Amino acid sequence: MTVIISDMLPGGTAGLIQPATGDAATGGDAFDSGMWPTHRAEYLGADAPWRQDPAMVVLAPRAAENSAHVPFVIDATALPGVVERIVVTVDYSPFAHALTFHPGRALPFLGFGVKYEVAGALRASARIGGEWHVGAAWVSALGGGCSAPAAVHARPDWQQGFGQMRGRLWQKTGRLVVSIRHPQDTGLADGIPAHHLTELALYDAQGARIANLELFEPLEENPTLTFVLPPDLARQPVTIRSRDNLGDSFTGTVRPDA
Amino acid sequence: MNALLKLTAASAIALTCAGALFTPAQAKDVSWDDILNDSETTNDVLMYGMGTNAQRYSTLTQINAESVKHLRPAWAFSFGDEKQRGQESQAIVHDGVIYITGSYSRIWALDAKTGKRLWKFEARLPEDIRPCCDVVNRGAAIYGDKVFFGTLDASIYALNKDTGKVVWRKKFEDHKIGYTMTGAPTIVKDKETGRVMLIHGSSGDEFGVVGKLYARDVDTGEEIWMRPFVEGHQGKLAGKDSTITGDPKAPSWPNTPDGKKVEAWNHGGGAPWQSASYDLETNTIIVGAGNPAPWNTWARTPGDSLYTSGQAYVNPKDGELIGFYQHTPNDAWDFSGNNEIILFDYKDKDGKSHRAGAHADRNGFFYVTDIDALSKRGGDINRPTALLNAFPFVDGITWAKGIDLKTGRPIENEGQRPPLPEKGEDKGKTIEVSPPFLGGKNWNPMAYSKKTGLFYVPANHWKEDYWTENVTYQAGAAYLGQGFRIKKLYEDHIGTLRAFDPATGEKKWEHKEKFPLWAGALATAGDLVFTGTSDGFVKAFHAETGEQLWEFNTGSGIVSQPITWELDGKQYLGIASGYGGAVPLWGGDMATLTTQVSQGGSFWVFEIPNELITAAK
Repeated sequence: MTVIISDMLPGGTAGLIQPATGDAATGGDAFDSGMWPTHRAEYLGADAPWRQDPAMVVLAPRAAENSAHVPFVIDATALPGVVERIVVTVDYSPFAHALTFHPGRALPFLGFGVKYEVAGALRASARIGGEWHVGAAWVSALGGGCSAPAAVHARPDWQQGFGQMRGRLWQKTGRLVVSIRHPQDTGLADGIPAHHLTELALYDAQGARIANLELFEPLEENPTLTFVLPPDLARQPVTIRSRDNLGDSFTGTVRPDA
Repeated sequence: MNALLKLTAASAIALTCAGALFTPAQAKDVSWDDILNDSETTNDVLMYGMGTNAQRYSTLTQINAESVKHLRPAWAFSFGDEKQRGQESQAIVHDGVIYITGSYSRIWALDAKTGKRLWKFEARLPEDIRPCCDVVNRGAAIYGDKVFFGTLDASIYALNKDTGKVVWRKKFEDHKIGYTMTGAPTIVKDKETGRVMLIHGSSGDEFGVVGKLYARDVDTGEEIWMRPFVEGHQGKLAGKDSTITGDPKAPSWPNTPDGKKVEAWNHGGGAPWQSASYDLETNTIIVGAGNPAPWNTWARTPGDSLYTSGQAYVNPKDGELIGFYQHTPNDAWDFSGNNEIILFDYKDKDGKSHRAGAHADRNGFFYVTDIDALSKRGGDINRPTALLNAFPFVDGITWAKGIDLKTGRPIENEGQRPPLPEKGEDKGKTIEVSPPFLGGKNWNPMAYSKKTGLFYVPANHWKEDYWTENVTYQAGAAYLGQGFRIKKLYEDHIGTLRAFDPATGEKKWEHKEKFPLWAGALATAGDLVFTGTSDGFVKAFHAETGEQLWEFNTGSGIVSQPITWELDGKQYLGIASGYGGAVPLWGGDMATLTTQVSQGGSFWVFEIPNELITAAK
């Protein structure tokens, strides 16, 4: 199985981290454990057919260095068929639903970071033709990532630089990295109301949508998102539009590297 | 269009999935007719002021002078959080749901029957907001499927009324230089264009903002027009410059020796921070304009400092200023003209009927203005003679002997404009003024009973030491040029709830309160007047006699606005509790009183228990 990003890593396809699956992916527990049955019913549908699938790759560090930024890569490119959407849930987060990715014309691949409140598994469920293919990774974390105030609140004015976007699009590989300065407040820190991104979408040069994300509280502060675009889309400018729960909207266009 | 079509085609799957996340709401939308009929209908409260005429009068009689003694809490809802500051809000009631705003730009939707929270929305505020007079909010507007409210960072939010999710948000000015919003927006449908718009102003006169009134598209939040209330400033219409307010040369503001306008003109004030009334007959928005900036009169002398400290009449079609009546020309005392203008049918002493506006100003005088004369298109904007009656509604007014009914201008007393500092001094001679800048009556709205024909004015007796200071404008800093210290006028009371006959100016009754009165009034056909007190009581009075018939202690001070409505054959009374507002911050000697009050933040609903209603029948 080829994991797309592995080509980009030092050491080539060997990779630094190997995806785990089955019991191993959830820290040795039976896969059907934790909050999974509840989350499955709520976010995938109570009677929806699902199975764990080693081809739904979830890459993560075994232990989080920083509970406010736990990096993940989900890669469904090896799954057969068209991935309609990928639902990402976190077993022991106060907000289980981290995001839903609608790959559209992008590859079903996403890099992102989430906040971890308690150690546990993150699950990615890809829907193909009415069936869910589920992968997971278990991360050890000290926790507290969702209830601590965003780091920006230690500064006098969180609005400084708020909404600033950065992006880069590599024509050669189709990799697109987008970051937005946003506190991503969950509403759990004292005296700080919930303030987080709710949607982000990519548009091609003609203004047609490529892919979109529904976003929720667990996404990290100042999130960085990595997409992979097919060659034809990676050769033209991509516009990113995003919005948060307080009605702020953010737009930026990234041009491919020469 | 092309882009939109492509987008739909390219992402049909994604759109379908996103659509499935929403359950379509079945709740009833609010129409313009609903709002127009608000003052007549008893099952809802759709507007600040309980109707476009802002009368705060209800025809409901189940709770009446007889039955009010049985009034009991039905439920209470805690706003929660640690943000317990002044709760000045008036609730909206529609389709069995209460929409109530709170301090620090929060809003809740509550089930009117049970008090169950349906949703909550909390704006994320910058750290450097500059509200002069506490982090209050006075209420929301409702139209279609949206509720609208302003926030302290000078933004307006439109939320889906069923989910509380943001539909649009517009930041209309820079909060760092003092723009903020505390007042409730209102809805107006322009008769000429048929366009429904959200009308709102801003606060910030104490920081030297230019007061502006805005009209926005209810669906998108786009600005339709903007009207500045400082003479000679540029208005806007449909994204372009429209007319200049009044005379482009702004003769009511002085020039410097080199022929330019004085510094004060660039800031000017006049912010319409309270809510507008609407006169359907003449299709006119009627709203109070704030104090001129700076407070220091000498920075603006000579001239009347138009269009500040008065009542403004604006055409909803294009935002043109049609007419203006100035309560305090060249206002030297921060009297402002913001207090509500209640529209009512006025019968003067000679029995002649007029369509009139009633306004109890911070300057201590009660004004009855001719709204037909003031909303007539064409002619001079400033119409001091459009006055029908004026009389003092508080004791001990020092700054003027009265209002000349012929000229429409105040008859000022000598020595009440605080003198400039002597050479080498940084502070002028102290004088004593009453009412002080907190006003004979402040923002807290009065009520008009159609049944008794009386106005119920929540007023205060106090005075101030007042002196001039040097003043220079610095963005984001207070721009006053005055110093002050609020003092008591009487030992036994500050607050005084008073009933007035608008034709004779006769005070029919009064009820004294030890604490300042900072809550609005509500009158009902059940011969009752309701208000709240700073020491926490919601009280009911007999509308004819002023006799106190009922009280209930809500546990924190009340500085909000009572409403009443009917649901499934039962009358309810609703009021927010939670102490704060300008008095604890600026009240000087009032501190000995205000520090006795605990903070809070809750909404209380009262009813007469079912068994007692049956027994009464």
